[in-house]
Amino acid sequence: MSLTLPADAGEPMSAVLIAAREVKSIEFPTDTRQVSLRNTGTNTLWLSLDEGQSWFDVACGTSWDDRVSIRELWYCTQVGRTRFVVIGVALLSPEPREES
Amino acid sequence: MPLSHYPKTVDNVVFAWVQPPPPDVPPQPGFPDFLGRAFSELNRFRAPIVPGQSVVGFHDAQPFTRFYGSIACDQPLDVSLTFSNDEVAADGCIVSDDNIDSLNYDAHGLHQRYDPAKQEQTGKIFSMIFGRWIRIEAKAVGDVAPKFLRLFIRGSVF
Repeated sequence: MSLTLPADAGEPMSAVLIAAREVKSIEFPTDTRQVSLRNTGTNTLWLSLDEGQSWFDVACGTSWDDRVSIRELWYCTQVGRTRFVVIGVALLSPEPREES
Repeated sequence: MPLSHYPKTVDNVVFAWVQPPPPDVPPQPGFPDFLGRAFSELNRFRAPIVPGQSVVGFHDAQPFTRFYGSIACDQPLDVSLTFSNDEVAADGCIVSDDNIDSLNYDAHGLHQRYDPAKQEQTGKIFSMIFGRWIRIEAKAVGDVAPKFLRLFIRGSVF
């Protein structure tokens, strides 16, 4: 039985956030299959996918996306504040349908 | 793993001083919040600059390749853009909002004397980037405090 949804489809979970010096996190309603993010502010955004154990940066005006299955995303800046939009695509596991 | 795309900035104001300040108007329902915040959060104006006093702003310069902007005021101003290349502060700590004002701003990118009688010649700003951090200073050099002052500095990624 093939899925009725394309393999990379899923419900979008989006948020507009402000990052500052204090480390904060966003928790998605469910696990993601993909995360896309765009730094629309004027400062470098620092991101962590593992609760602050490792970090990477997203320069202002740039975006980041990857096929990752995560439930939470941690973020901060070194100086100032920056605004960013994040869209997580929900990991859907449709119930298998019985063959008719 | 991360894939960072070539930058195209939406928000590029690194310093804004608008006197008198416009009122904050909430976003229109049903449309995106295009500004992303109230303008009063962006506007650094709190009170007119007393003659002989300065307003100073700091920002990360690294994301940008150059800075541009404009000045309009009823009084003369001394405007400067200087840059620091310090990786850490004097005590060895990383640069943060708490110590960015203590860095050595040794590179003078621009020093401009604004004359309200010469708006065309002195009312525009352009500077290359000469350091990791930028310091923006506007000093009131007239006899009285300005009745209006608009100073914008924006960063360009191209």
